[in-house]
Amino acid sequence: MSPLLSWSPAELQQFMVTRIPFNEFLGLKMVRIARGELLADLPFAAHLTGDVDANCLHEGPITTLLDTLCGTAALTLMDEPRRTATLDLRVDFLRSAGAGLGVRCETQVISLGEHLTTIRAIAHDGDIGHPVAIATATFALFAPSVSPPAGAAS
Amino acid sequence: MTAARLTASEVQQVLDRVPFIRSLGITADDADGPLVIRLPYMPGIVGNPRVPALHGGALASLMGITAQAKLLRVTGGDRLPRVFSITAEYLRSAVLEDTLGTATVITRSRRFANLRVELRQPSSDRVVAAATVQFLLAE
Repeated sequence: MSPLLSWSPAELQQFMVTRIPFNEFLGLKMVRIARGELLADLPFAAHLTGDVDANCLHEGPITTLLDTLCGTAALTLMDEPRRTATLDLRVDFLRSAGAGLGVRCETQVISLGEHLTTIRAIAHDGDIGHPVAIATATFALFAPSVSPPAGAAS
Repeated sequence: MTAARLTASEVQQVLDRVPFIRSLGITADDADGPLVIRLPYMPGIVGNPRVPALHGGALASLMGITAQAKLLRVTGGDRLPRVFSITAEYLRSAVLEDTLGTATVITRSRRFANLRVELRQPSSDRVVAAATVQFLLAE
């Protein structure tokens, strides 16, 4: 079983947010972890808005939430955590988030191979049937306790 | 090459009205010819302190904003155009330096536009990340 699954919410927050400066900058809040699934919130904040008049979150923080959750979702299926690096990330922005609303992101591991994993994620502002954005991401999986090649993306 | 309708400083004024773009300190410049969108290094955009490397989400944000700025420069107007999809490829680890985005308009019609974005850093000529960004244009 993945060691991540035995973590308390505080430990998960430390692993996913406190030690990752940009996630901390965005104020991500980890909510829940299970096998193949991560749930987290991006609370609304004025400095993260994309449009002053509409008062809605910018696409950038939503993209970051999707990327960071996808990258960790595969770890919930591994007995030994491995370092992952995003190879590609596709995000469809379906509509703006609601005025003054944060978004919640949920993930699903589609495929887990030896070197690659493919994850889907969905971001919504209250109704998962009416998403704000959907993402598909592919990650490289590095061997446990082996340093990744110098050129590898993070 | 599509003619520019806005100067870099006019593009900058539009970027500065977006709180998230301002919070990252992103700037527009065309002193060397093409429009260059710069994400200045700051500790808050790091994604992995151990590598260390910038966060892929910060790079994706820069790629979307670079495409928006480029399209705005050629279409004119006072609002950033709406991105409906971004497909980003992460090619190398982004080191703890400024990151510079440039974009090319691949195609543009009355309703849609497709731009290709590349990100580079001062210490290397190699592309660290690239993206295709698609837009739905306002009537």
